[in-house]
Amino acid sequence: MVDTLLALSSPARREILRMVWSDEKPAGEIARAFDMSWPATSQNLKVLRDAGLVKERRSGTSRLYRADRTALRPLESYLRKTWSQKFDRLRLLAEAEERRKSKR
Amino acid sequence: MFEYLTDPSKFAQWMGVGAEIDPRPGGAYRINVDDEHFAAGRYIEIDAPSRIVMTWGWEGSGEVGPGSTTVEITLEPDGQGTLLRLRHTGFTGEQQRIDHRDGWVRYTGQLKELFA
Repeated sequence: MVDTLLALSSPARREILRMVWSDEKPAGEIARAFDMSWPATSQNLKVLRDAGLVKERRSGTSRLYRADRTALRPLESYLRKTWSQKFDRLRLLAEAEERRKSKR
Repeated sequence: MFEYLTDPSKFAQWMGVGAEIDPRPGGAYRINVDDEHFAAGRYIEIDAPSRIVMTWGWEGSGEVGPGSTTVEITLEPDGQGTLLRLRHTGFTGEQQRIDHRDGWVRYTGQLKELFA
């Protein structure tokens, strides 16, 4: 779960995931689409792969990636459970901080 | 084309955003690929204009650390162009090998575009 959240914390990785959501794409095409350096692309794909969010398939000399949507299923219930209470807490903390600042 | 392998501004233009290079056997180089990834190693052989051998690796990488692998590039005239051969050896893992092959396919493609 932590890996999944970490993997999704980067805007670049979310964009990659969106790109391979319904179509399988070769690594090179992904790198070109985002004008990203190769090491950055390769590292992002590794994080997504390690988190189980994308599946890698080798075909001849190229590597193809596609989103594994089933990996997001446990996240859905987790988010539903924690989102509301975390959000409330965040709001209270922010309000307390505002009050503290305005007193100075 | 050989200059793209030894001249700092040309190397950077080809592969990244900046480069520090000491182009002589034993000399170190450091290429800033995207401000987050830095390739580093040393030149082993420099035979202008046809052959270059350098160690290769990435700062901060445990699997392919600076200087941990070897890149050999040969250039030979081929009709009106140049045939580039690149051999990267010394990987400890299959994933790393494939990853770098994909990387070189991308960067040699970019080199070709610079001459197009």
